[in-house]
Order: sequence, then C-alpha cells, then structure tokens
Amino acid sequence: MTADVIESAYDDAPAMGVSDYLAILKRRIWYIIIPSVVMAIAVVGIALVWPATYRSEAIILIEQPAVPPELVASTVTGYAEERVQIIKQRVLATENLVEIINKHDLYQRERKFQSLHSVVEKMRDHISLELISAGQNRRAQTTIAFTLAFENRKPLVAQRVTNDLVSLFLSENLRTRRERASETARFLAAEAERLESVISEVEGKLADLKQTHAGSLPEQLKHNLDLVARAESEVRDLDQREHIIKERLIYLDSELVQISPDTGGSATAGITSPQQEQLEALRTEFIKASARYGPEHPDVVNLSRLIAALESEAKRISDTSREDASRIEEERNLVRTELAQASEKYGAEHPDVVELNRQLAVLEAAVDSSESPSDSAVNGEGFANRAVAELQRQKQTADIELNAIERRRQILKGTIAEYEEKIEQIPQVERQVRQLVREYTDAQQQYQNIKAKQITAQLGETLEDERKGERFSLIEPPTLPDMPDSPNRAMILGVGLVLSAGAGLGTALLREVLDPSVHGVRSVVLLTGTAPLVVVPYIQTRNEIWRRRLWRSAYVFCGIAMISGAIAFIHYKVIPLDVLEVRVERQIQRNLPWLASPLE
Amino acid sequence: MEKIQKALEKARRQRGMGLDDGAALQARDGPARATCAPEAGEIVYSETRTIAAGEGTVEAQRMRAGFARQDLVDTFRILRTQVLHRLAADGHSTLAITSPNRGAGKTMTSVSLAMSLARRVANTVLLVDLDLRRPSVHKYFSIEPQKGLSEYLLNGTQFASCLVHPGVERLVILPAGSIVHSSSELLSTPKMVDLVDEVKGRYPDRIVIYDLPPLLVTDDAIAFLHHVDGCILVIEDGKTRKGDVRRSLELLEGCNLIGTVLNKSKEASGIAYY
Repeated sequence: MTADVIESAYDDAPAMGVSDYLAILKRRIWYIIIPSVVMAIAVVGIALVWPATYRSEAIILIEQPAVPPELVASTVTGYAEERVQIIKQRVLATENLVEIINKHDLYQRERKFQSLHSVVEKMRDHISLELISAGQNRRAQTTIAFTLAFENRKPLVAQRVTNDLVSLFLSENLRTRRERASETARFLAAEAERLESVISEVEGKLADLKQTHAGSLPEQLKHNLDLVARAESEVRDLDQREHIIKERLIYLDSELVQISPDTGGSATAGITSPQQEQLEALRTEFIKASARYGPEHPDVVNLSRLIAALESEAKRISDTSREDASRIEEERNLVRTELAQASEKYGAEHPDVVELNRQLAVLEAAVDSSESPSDSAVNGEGFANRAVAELQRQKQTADIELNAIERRRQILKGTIAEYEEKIEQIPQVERQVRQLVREYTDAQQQYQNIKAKQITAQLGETLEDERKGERFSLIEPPTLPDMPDSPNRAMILGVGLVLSAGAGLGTALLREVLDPSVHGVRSVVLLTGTAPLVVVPYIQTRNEIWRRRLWRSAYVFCGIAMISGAIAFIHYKVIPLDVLEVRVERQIQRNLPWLASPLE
Repeated sequence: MEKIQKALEKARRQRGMGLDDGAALQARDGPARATCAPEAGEIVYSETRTIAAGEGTVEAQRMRAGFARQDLVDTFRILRTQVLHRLAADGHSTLAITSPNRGAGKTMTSVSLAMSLARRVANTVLLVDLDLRRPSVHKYFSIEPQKGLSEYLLNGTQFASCLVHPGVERLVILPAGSIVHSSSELLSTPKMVDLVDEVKGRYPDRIVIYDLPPLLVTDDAIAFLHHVDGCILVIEDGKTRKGDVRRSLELLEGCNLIGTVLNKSKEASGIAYY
C-alpha cells in the first residue's frame, strides 16, 4: 500500500457507475428533497401571489410635413429622435408627474413611506418610451413613430395615465414648435433693425467726409487739375507779359536818355529839328508798332498818344496865341477838377486818375511854356520836357501794370498752391471714402440677406400655426390591457421548479463534495489502491431496529401534530380555511388559468 | 439460553479439547483456575474460564444477530480465507486488527474473524484484547474480566489464569483486564515483548489475533505493530474520514498491511465489487 499504488489507483480508478450514483442519491436524499420542496413551495407561492402589472400603450406617429420642406423650410431642425427625447424630458419633469400622481392617486402605499422624489422616480421607471424606426438599411434608419406606455396594477389606471402622458406629449410638442418659429422671426427682426441703423450711420459718415473734404473728393480731381493747369498757363501768360513790359521799360529808358541831352543844344533852328526829329522817330515807331501789334495794342496806343501830344504841342507852338494859352489854361483847370473828382472817386492809382494826372501835368507844362513864350528854345526845352514827361508817364504806366501783373500772379500762385494741396489730399480721402463705401455695401448685403430670411421665417411661423409642418399624431390611443404584462407566471413556475430541483441537486452535490468521509468501496479503492478484503454490512440488533422504528413514528407524529397545529392556528387566528381556499382558487383562476381548468 | 449453554458444554466435553496451557476443561461458569503445564497434543481448557455465549451486552447481541445472517457468515469466511492465505504465504501467524478511529467496528471484526477462524479444525485462535484503555472484547462474550493482560503485566499474575475460554471451540481469549491508561508504555515493556514472542511460536497451529486500539487515538497500536506479522485496517463506511484513512496508511508504512475491511456498509450486498 505505497503511495505509488494509491496514485495509480487514482489514475486507474474506474468511472463512477450507475450504482455509485444511486448510492449517492440514496445517501443524500434528504439534502435533495428538503431544499427542492422548500423552493418549490416558495416558487408556487410567488407565482400565485405576485401581483400582476398591466401595461397600457399608445403609438404616436411622427407625420411628415404637409408642405414639402423644399418649398417652405421649417424652423424646427434636427432629428426626430432628438426632439422626441427632449420632449420626453420635459413631459416627465417632476412637476408634471406629481400632478398626475395626485390626480389619479397613484402609489398610495409608497407615498406614505417614501419621499415624493423617490416616488416620482419610481413612476418614471414605469413609463417607457420606445422609438420605432424604419429605413432601407441599417444605416439610414429614421424614426417614424414611438410608443408611450405606462405600467400599473390596475388596467384602467394604466390607460388613464397613459392618456394623460400622451396629451402632455402632444401639447408640449406643439408649444415647442410654435415657440421656436416665433423666436426665429423675432430674432431676425431685431437683426434687421440693427443693420438698418448701421447703414444710416455709415451714410452719415460718408456725408460728413464729403463735406469735410469738399475740394478733395476723388471726383473733383479732374476739375482741380484743369484749374491748376489754367492758372499755370495764365501765370505763364503773365510772365510773358511782364517780360514785354520790362522790355518796353528798357526801351523807354533808352528814349529818355536820348531826349535829355538835347535840352540845352541848338537855339532856333534847333527848336523844330529835335522836336521834329523826335516826332518823325515816334511816327516811325508808331507805324512799326501798329504794323506789328495792331491799333489796340497798348504800345501802339501810347505811341499814338505821344505823337498826338507832340503834334498838338507843335501846333500850339505855331499858334503861339494867347487864346490857345488861355484855352490850355481852361483845359488845365477842367482837368484839375476832373482829377480831383476822379481821385476822390477812384483813388490815386486808378488808370483814369493817372491819365488825368498826366494830362494835367502836360497842361501845366503847356501853361508854363505859354507864360514864357519868348524862348523857343525854352519851348523846345519845354517840348523836350513834355516828351520826357510823357515817357515818364509811360514808364509809370508800365510800372503800374507790372505791379498789377505781380499781384495777379501772386493770387494765381496762391490758387495753384491751394488746389495742389487739395489734389494731394485726394488719395487719402479716396481711401476713406472707399472704406466707408465698403462698409455700406456690406451692411446693405447683410440687410438684404436678413430680409430674405425673415420672409422664410415668417413662412415657417405660418406653417406651424396651421400645423402643416411635421407633427405628432396619435394613431393608436392608449389600450386598455386585459392581460397582465408581467409577471409571466407560467415561466416563473417552470423556471422556478427547475431551479428548485437544481437547488436540491446542488445542495446534495455540495454536501457530497464537502463530505470527507469514506463512502463505499470506491473510496477505499481510491485511498488504498485496492478493494477492501470484505465489505461488512451494517448489522442491526433487534433493539436497534425497534428503536429506529420508534423514532421514526415519533417524528411522523410530531410532524403531523405541528402541521395540524399550524392549520388550526391559521384557521382560528389568521383566516378561516374555507375563505382561504376560495381566495387561493381565485388567485389560481386569475393568475394561472391554465392550471385552474384541469383542476375543475 | 441455559439449554444452549449446556448443550455447548456437553459438546465440548465430548470432544475433549483443551488450550495450550494445559488447563483441563472446566464445565462451570466461573473463572477457571490455573494448573500446571499443558500436555502436548491435547488442548485442554484447564485454566481458562469458560463462559457461555449468553444474552447480555449489545455487542454480544450484535454478534449473534450477525451470525444469524448467513451472508455475514460467508463474508467472514471470505475474510478468514484471505487472511489465512496471506499469512500462510509468509509463514506468519499473528495478526493485528485496528482502525483509524473508534467505533469503526474493529473489535467486532476481530471477534468475528476469530470465531470464524476457530470454526476451522486445522487451527486454534488466540484473541488478545490490547485496548487497555477501553477494553471491549469481553463484552462480545459477556465476560466480566477479573484478570487479564494488565494483571499479567503489572501484577505478575500467571498467564494461564488470565486466559478465558468463551465456550467456542478452539478459541481462547486474553482479555485486557483492568483499565490501564499508560498502556503504550506497558505494551512496550520487555515482558510484553517476551509474551508476544512466546505466544507466537508456542503452537504452530495457533493464530493470534490482536485487537488493537485505534491508530490515530493512541500510539499503542503503532508501537505494537512491529511485533505482529500482519495487520488489517477496518474502515467504517460513511464515518471514517478519507484523511484519517490516508494518515493511517502512512503510519502503516513498513507494517505488513494485509488489507482493509469496509464495515457498516450501507450498500446492499456485502461482497466487494467495483
């Protein structure tokens, strides 16, 4: 009996035969029976007694819009499932459920012991919402409907509550949709208003800008350029004119120089000859000038005036009459008066005044020369003085004109500078203008956009108002259940009984496995390696047999006594047996009808 | 019962058998007196006390009940054959019977085996009760042991006067005697060892069966087992633990374990099968 033998015994040990199993069964029979029976009783009890729950269900269809979305886009977007879930959350809010609980007096028992919150939670567990989808394939499933159900012990209550829930659902959906549409419209209106104010603001800015930079507006560029060009050309003209006049001055100066040395020279013969020479020269000059310039030209006019003056001088000299002299004096006085008038009226620089001054000077000179007629040389001298005076006068005129030119030129230069500055500012102004214009167009665009959307939104609002959009409609009103939804009593019984058998077997198996003692030849073989030499059965003495029988009958008797006692107790203290029987029958009738019929 | 007693006595007298110590057969109820050395060839129960197998203890009843069943008788016959076979193969003649724990039925087995062996004409049996703490062999024969092994070892009582003839032919019992608690020391004294040796070799036809105390309860058995030729382990069906069996087997390593007996089996048939 070495360890090796024992080990090999384990390996070679024969499989457990039927008799072995039967032996185990016999050994553990009570382990099998008691748990099984106890559990079976419990299961039957549960199957009978468990209260039924009834489930009332309603089906709501998610109907497609009557007006196609391509024509009028709905303001409510998103998937139907999301919307359903959101509405579910709203509908199942605590306050709604509390109202329903109070209205139908639900969960009386639970309300006594539990907080309202947990009762509401319990109710939520009894409410179920299931989406029904359809689609061509697994991916593109859309929700087309959903079921809403409520469970309760009483079928009528279940139906009523489901009805309430359905109404809540439908009204909530409607409200949500309408709200959404009107919110959208409101929002868009506000936006439009805002954009309007933006547009007018930009317009104002643009006007201000145009005002501030009045001359520097981009559209004025050409005009400014033209103006500058003209001014510049005028300046050029003036320059040219100045140049001419300056030349003239030089000429006059040269003339002056010619005349002056001749004042003291030849006497009588010299009276006319220098004078006539001069006259001839002037006449030649005149002819030349008038040929070159024309009769209106200032040089020409001056020359002719000069000639005329000299000629009249000569004439006057030839006359040498006092009448002439007095006439000259008269004229001179007239001129003086005129001059005084003119200088009063116009000022010293006025051409008329100047002219009058010149005339007066000539006349004064003539009067002087007539008062001293004796000396032709003096006349000649006087004549020469008069020529000089004339020349001087012409020089004066030229100077005055130069001044005038200079002044005009300054003015022009000022204008040019001004307009050039204006031109310089144009690009900057242009930039500002462009920006403002851009803002303006942007705002305009947005505004147009919003306006378009507003129209759509208003259409959407109308759609909702007339319920032409997607809507929930009740296609299956809450059912009044006649069959309980749970529990499945047949299944409880079936499964329960199987389980109790299993429990019994399991307990037996457990006991068997945990049993450390030797059982039967097999154990001995496994332990020692060989079968025992003999197997001696249990020998009972007669006494023992008797005693066993006695004990057994005692147990049975006790058992009967206890059961009778229990029955009596139930009958007298708890519930009379006949009533119990009726109740049980009723329960069976209600819950296990298929069991009841064979019993009858 | 008196009738049976008397009949048995009569049969014994007729056969004229006696035990090794030369004591003549005494047809009385009381304990026998020791006399001088035995005569060779004749077994005369001169010294042994003769007690009839009467009504009495439960054990005695059980034995009677057992032997009333024929299948049990056959069972023990089979055991007897197996044992003899194994013993004879090696020329052994002493056998120890023990079990892992109390109550397995080893005394019952040893007594039954002894009685079964005693039926054979070819040999005699000496059944020694070595359970000095709880002696029980005497109960199977309804004997009140006044003298036994412990008296022999402690008091120096003569060996022959301790033996008992229980009224079964060819069977002699050495009861344990008074209860001794320091049994393991006692059993390993030289006197005991000498006794074992002497008893073994004394008669070639005699088989000595030692009813040992349980293996795992005391160390008496272990100490003693080396003095016997063979050993049988009695296992109680449904009660003895497998662990105890294993431990016992470990302890029995080195001793010649002839085999096991499955006692108090709940299986219907008494014959071992797979």
